[in-house]
Amino acid sequence: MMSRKKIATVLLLLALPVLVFWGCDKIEEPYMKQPGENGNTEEVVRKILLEEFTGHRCPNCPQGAQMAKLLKSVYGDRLVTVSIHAGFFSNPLSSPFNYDFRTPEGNALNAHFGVVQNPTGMVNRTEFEGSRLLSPAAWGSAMTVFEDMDPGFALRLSASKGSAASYSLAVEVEALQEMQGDFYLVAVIIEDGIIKPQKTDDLVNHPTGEILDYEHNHVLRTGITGIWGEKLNENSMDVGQKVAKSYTFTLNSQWVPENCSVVAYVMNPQMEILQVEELKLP
Amino acid sequence: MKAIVRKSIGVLIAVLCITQYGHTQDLLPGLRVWGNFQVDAQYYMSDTLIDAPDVPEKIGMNAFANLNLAYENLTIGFRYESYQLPLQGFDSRFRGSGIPYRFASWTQDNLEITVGNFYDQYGNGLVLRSYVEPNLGLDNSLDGVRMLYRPVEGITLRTLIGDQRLYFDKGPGIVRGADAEANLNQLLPALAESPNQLTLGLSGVSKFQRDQDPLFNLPENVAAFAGRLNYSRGAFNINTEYAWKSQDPSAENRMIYKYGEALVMSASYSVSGFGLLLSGKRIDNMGFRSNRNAVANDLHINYLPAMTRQHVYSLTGMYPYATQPNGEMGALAELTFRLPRQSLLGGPYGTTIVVNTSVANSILREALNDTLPVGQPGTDGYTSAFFALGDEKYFQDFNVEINRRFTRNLRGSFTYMNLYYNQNVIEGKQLPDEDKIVKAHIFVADMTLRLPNRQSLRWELQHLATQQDKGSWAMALLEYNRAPHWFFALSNQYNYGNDDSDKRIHYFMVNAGYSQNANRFSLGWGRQRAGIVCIGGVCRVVPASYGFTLSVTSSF
Repeated sequence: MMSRKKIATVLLLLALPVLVFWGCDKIEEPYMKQPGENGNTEEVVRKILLEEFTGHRCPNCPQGAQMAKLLKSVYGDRLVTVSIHAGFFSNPLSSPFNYDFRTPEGNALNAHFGVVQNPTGMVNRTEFEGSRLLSPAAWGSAMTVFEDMDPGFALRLSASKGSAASYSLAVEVEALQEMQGDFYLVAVIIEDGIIKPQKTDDLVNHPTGEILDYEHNHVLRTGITGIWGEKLNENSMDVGQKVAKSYTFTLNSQWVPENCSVVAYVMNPQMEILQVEELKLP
Repeated sequence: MKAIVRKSIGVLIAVLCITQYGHTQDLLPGLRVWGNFQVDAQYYMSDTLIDAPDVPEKIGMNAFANLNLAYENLTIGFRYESYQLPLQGFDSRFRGSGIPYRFASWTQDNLEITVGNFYDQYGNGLVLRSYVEPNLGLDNSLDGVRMLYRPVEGITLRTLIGDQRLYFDKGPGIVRGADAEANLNQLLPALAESPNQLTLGLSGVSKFQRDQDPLFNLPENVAAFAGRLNYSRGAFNINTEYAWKSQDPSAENRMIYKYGEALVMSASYSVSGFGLLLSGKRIDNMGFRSNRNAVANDLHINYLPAMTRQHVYSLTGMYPYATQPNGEMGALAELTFRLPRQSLLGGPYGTTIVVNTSVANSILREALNDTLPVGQPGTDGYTSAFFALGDEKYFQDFNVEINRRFTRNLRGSFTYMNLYYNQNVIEGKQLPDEDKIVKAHIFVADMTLRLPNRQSLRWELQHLATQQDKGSWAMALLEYNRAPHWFFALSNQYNYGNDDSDKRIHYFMVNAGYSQNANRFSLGWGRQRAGIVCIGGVCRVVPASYGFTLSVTSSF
């Protein structure tokens, strides 16, 4: 027979799993944080580029777009989103899914970063918890890393409309710190407010699994520079050093100029985004 | 990373120097040294016909070596791993070399202590299973401290704390766990002689991960709890476990706050020549990882068993089932019986028949209200009655296997399998409803003829008939064995039923192997079709490839 002391010891030890169990947090509703001040400011801050890999045939992707929209309410102008339609879920199907948002630039990024599932995204193309490619659940946490980070560059964009559908773009890049290494400038065009069908997994509100009047935003349309960028310097940039670049481009007649913007970013040879700006076309 | 690699190589050289004494046992009587080594390499050749990607580096290699030393109550060991570059289909984050697994363990007065890396499992693994499966590229070992204590006969207590391996790095979360198991027959003298054997277990596991999210109020501490029971009496055995998990919004469940739960039950009866197994399970939102943002096979804390048969043949294994952690109900039944030798049906040597069937189905999910879709992020997601089935079938398998010896030298195994396979759920495809289900009839004949001088000839004929996916397949294999050293094999899988006539491809393979005691060498050449490989319901995508393969294993 076991002694009482032994029984008490055993019972106490048996309670160990229960102690572990008690160590959990109970979150009460509302589960969402209240949006605080968004990132709109006149100061030069380190901005955040979210590249969202998506596709109109991907039922989970509206949730990725919803996450990007929620994050925009938190970060305001500090967050720039580019939606890249590439890969299996972007291949055209029969009508009404027969449209094609793929671009050579998007396909190149999709292949280079090894995107195999949608939705997935990159936040400033920087590794977060061991990975560059992040599920929507991780986007917000990955963005907080940049909240208190000083900007290395200031990017100033100006655009003017020429004849017909042609535009001029001027970009000035200024180093705000001593920046070591080579840096590259990339500029692309995105378009908001495109109403086209989208697959969805929200079968309660869309029992057919399709949203025929879905609004696609931030859709990557084309590159102004090459997608791997134009080299800005050799080896380093001193504080205050500026580099100016200018480009001309023409909008496709199918795009709505009022809904188009230029997104420009500076990246290092590892393709990490160091600064990004967005400018609506005039 | 470079520092880790330098340190790892330093430790490796030091240990190799020690073992280079050769007769280590002579150096320190009572010292035991053991280990094993495996390398799998492939030379990739371009093959646009099967969509084998062009691999710029041409060669991929996965290799590891385990080395363990034990002296009296102390055991130390490590595993060196090298991926130069990882084989196609393995995560590119494996690239590199190092020692991601090292440990020291000792036992003193019923207390076993392990520091460093370790694996462990509580019960069926519903709340904790840390294990390594090289074929899946899965290693969720913990790095920390583990204790196992047996205070009295019949009681086993285990605790652990650590972070988890993520390729050559660590996940951001911390895992804490405790498990208590009581064998009542050993614990209570009154039951010592009882034919009723009863074991009870209780587990608790929690994880900590900081909340950095700007949108969601996230629980930083998430706990899971499980209770289990194992009862046996003679040939009869029942095993059951129930697990419950607190709020754990994650990438896997798409940020819902619903609690998770799982129930597995299994009953078996087995006597000579007869066996019956019945199992059932229900899983609801029970994915549990030490990083809420992890996807694929990264940082699993628990393991949710697949209740389907693990098939070994190429075509019966073409459409394997992957457990659905967000929700499923499943059942399996297996009947094994032997027709006696010298009977009408059993034949001169007897015949064994296995009848197996399994099914997996969705659980019923109902919206929280009229406006919220099921699974809306930032809500409780849905409600689900415990025993309510959903309306989507994921998987069904009915198979019969007959094993029979015809003569002293000729034996055969014959399998029929009827398959229902939901590609959209299991593989995450988004096919239209009319294409998403694969229904197949599969036949396999596997014959072995024993020849003089320890030689044997084995041949397989397989056929998969389906109208869906890539259509029907046929396969043949011929294997010659000369024990104990050599084997040669030729095989061909022919996708003759593909709707696209350009894709009616022969996937041929030539293999040869040589074994010498504990060393085994294997060389192959041919085409590998794209597919998925699953072990215990955990899966990995295998891309198509063409080229030479080399495999070497060794142990001592």
